[in-house]
Amino acid sequence: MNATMPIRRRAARGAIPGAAPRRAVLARLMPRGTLGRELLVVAARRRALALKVGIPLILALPLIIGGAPTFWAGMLLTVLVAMMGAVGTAVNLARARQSGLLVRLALVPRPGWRVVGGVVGAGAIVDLLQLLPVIALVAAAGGAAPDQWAALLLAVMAGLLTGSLLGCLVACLAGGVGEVLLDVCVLLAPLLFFGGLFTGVPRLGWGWTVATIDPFGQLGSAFIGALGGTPAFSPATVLLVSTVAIVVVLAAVGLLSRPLLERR
Amino acid sequence: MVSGAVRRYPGGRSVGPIDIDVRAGEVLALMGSNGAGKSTLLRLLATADRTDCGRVSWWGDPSPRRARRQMGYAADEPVEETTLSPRQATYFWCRQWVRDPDVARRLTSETLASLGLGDRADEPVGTLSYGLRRRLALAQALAHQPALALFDEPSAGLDPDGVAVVTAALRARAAAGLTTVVASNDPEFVAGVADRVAMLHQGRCLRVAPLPELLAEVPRRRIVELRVGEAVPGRNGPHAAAGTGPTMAGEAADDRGPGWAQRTLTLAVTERLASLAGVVVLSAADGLVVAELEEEAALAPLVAAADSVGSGVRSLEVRRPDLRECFPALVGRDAGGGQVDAPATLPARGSR
Repeated sequence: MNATMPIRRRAARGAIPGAAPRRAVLARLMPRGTLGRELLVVAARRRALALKVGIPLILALPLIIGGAPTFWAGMLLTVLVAMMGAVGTAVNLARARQSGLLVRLALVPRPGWRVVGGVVGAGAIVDLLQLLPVIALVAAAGGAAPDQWAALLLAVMAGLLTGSLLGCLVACLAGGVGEVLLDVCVLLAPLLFFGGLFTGVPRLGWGWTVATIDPFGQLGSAFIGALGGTPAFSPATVLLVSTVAIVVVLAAVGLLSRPLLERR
Repeated sequence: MVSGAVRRYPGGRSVGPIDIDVRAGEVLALMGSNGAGKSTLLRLLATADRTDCGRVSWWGDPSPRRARRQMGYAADEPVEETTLSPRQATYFWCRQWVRDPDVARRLTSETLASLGLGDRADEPVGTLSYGLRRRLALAQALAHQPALALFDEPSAGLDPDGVAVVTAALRARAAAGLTTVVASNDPEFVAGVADRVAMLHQGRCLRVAPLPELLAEVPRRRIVELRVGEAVPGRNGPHAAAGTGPTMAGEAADDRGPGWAQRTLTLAVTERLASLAGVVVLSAADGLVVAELEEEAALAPLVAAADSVGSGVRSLEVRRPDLRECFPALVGRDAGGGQVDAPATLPARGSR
């Protein structure tokens, strides 16, 4: 009985995910800030990472292979990007608050925008990486030109970051992880609607203006263009608006960071 | 320094006003019953919470931002990503204060080693036991060598070896002139680590004093421990034969179950002592009767009563109450020295 105990213990340790050679590589990486820490945590969860890459692909494949109308395919893919950015960030931050991690991060002598920016940035990077196969598939299937590729890539980044900003806002307001999905939908629905995703972009008036400055309106247009449809906005407009949106969103995340960290 | 600090919670509950002055280089322990305000005070000191009125200042400076540069805080629940290693997790927190990566690496390794985590430093946190995660939480708060470290229940979940390791680490900090504040209800840990103890009760700080001074606040009281039932090594009683331990004198070799005679004797002694004036029996179990003398004069009748039981009383030990036994009396005392809701006697050990 006693002789088997050390063997059992070794076997139990070996069974825990992360005891493989992957650990040896990851264990050498020392996280300096929240960005590195979050990326390291994600990289260590291979199964979750594989699922995160697989799910968008599974959703996108029937749309693209089945030759869905570009308007509807663009709409669905835009909603997917928006939900990934917003829900991912909101859940991550709500969990961090519940576990006490945000309290500890609030006490480090670093600017709040760096601390929260690292968490949000890591989430956006991971989301972008998991969407890359879908973007490549879309662009390849639609025979997109290089400027459409670039516009789509930047619009996806802007969409993810805008979603992340909403996620931060939700994490500030929500009472817990359970509330997050509802709050995200409440905030996202008008943005998606006014971006012209469900009804098309109006040709004139305030509707057109709102859809133009709405990053999700631009993203929807970029998807439609990359899929071979007729986009509402030119790639140049998408590039310009998405760049401005990224800057504005990063600034807004910076402004939200302290209230987010210090809310109890 | 905390001056008149009040923290109000939804529902009308509030903590404070609290006045307390933490001295440089000391280990200050905050003690008090559950809900007394220990964790709230600790969070106020850690800048994790704000006062509703009153003032908190650090080294004479009221700025929480500047205070955070020299502070380390570990809450009562260890929180860390299970996929990271203790080295990575500690390095991350250390790097938030220490800019030089080489220094951070060295401090991380030293701190993990000093808390007994050196040989597990590169395993995933998920493989560590609860006690080791507690140590890791302390390591993360200590690695950057903060001038002020704040720990909520640092000994909770630790084995005796862990308590000794943490005690040694905190005493080493004090020797280096670094200040530590711990909120703890573990009297043994507090007795081993604290220079001063602050007794909190119902959101107020009643007393802040060195431990001997606090213990002297219960000056007349003595604790008497009587061991009942003489051990007879080698006696071939029914339980000795069964390998269940030594048999006791007076334990009849009958069928009334193991320890029957000892229980009877314990009960007899307990009844005898309980009838004496100035003696309160605190606990009686497993051949050990613990009584409290409310006055010195009660000792002689107690010894006589014990003597009258005959050879059944194996030993009698008189001592001063330790912190655990003083604790309820100390937290039950109001600022003016009168009794607020303190029990007339100390409760039995088993009830704590």
